[in-house]
Amino acid sequence: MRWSPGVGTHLKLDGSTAYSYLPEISEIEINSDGSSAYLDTSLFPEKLQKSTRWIYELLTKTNTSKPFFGCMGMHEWAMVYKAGQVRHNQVPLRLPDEEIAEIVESRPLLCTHFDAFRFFTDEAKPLNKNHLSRESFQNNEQPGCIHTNMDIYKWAYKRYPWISGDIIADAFLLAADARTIDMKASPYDLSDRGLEPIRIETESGRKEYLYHQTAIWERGLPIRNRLIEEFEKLISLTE
Amino acid sequence: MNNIKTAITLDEPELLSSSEWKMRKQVHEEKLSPILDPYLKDVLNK
Repeated sequence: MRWSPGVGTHLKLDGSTAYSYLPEISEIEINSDGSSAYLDTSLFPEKLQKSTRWIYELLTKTNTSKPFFGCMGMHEWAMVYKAGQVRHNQVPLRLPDEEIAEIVESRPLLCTHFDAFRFFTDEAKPLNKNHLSRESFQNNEQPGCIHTNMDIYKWAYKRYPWISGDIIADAFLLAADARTIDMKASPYDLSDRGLEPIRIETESGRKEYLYHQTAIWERGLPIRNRLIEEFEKLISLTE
Repeated sequence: MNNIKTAITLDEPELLSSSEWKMRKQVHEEKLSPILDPYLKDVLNK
């Protein structure tokens, strides 16, 4: 994952060795007098303009939405609820199927993230309180969602190298931490990988999940804000 | 939503001295290596 300056940032070539340190990115050009290097936005693919604007709108909508913290990470449970075949079948579950079903049925499913919901089992989908679809994806996204915070990295990396490596790195680290919480709160037994479960079937486990979920939300807000600013720059320079 | 006006215009790009951008590049690599290096080692050993 090479560092990129992103759009609108020029790199001075003011030392004898600077040229050799330039990131190996094919869209980087050197100006005519050889004094600086920059991402040449004339090389930005026109076919990406529409989706770039879609991502920008999604990020801005998400950031202005009210965060919701009541889901308790039940999405991973809904993905194995009464499943004939478990999605991550190479990883054991930490509870028997019947107990997992009881836990899922004991709480409302309040998922807002379509890309988690679409992996729910057919039996679990009708239990979700929110009607989610690909078409309404933007309208349901909210910044408290663990998966939505993981997606900051996805959206940033989709526009690499036009988005700076500084943001991509921060978003990647956030995504890695969010995924760790996500998996610890799941019904999978990952203790052999050093992941002690967050037992969301208990009150103390739900409190622990909430603590981590709000921490991920707080970290995600400024990163998403920076990413929105970079998308604004990218759009203004390429449309 | 197809006509969002962006407030930013870039008449003056940000200009980084080579020491500044080399530092950013180095920080980027140092941030990621603790996570990526063990993963890549694991993948390469398989």
